[in-house]
Amino acid sequence: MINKSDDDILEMFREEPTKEEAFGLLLKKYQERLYWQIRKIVISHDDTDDVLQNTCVKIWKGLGNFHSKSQLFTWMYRIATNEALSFLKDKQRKHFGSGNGELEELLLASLESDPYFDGNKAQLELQKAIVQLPEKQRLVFNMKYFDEMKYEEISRILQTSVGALKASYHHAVKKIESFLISREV
Amino acid sequence: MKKDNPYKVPENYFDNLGEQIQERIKQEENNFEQVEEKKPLIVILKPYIWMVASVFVFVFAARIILSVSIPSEYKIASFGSDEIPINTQISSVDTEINEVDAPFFEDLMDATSDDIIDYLSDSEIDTDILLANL
Repeated sequence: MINKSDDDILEMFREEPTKEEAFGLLLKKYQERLYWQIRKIVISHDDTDDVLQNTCVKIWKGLGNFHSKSQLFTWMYRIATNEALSFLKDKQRKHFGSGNGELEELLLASLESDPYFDGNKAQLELQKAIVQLPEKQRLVFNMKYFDEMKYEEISRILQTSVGALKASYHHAVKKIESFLISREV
Repeated sequence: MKKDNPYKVPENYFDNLGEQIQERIKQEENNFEQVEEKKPLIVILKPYIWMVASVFVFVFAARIILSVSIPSEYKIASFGSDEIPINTQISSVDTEINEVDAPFFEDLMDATSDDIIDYLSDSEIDTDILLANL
């Protein structure tokens, strides 16, 4: 358990002799939360590993200029989310070229072939339902349902109003319910 | 449905993650420094070459614009040209003006347009005198 506050870690990071130690502390504190945020977006562990490393490199490069207008974790979460979404867009472009290939096909394929998926049939169907959602609804649903984050926190990360988030979550739940009923889960 | 996380992670993944990431950051920083060191001379000089070239273009463009916009009578004759120097032209005009009879000019300034027309219509005018006075 890391006892140092984010402000203390930032102070350490700004001093050259303690920069690496500070970054190590930051990683230990937040690496798992960042990992799961990315994993829920890109699904596969190997892709998550790539994206997480890219995210951490960006955090390293940007942390020196971070000014506490938002919370440190919110800022890091936002970088992780954007990196994951960019990764998916690139993957879609590589697979489908300039055509309108469905991203959901790629994510479903990742889900079904992922050796690190350990759920039962019901959980698999739920994940398939989530993968079918539009990007924003998928993000909001995962953060609200699985991470149990408050709307205000999600709003700061996704830079969307609380009202819009509530609407997204409501639609996501309805679509998942319809999907699961149609699959008789 | 339970909110259990159905995804799992390879064993000890998080234990080694920090080191892997720090290693990668060091690699990226080393690669960046190597790329900076290997820059050929032309790449380093490029910005300065561009600066010098843009100064030349500016001067050339300014000369063209000025040569087009300034009327020819205000241009200074170029050295060694066949044009008559302007100071010579001005001095010959001055001479002509000085040779004109001053009283004639004064009378001309006082005359009305009707007077001038009547004067010119007079068939007894000696045109030689008229031309001489001009």
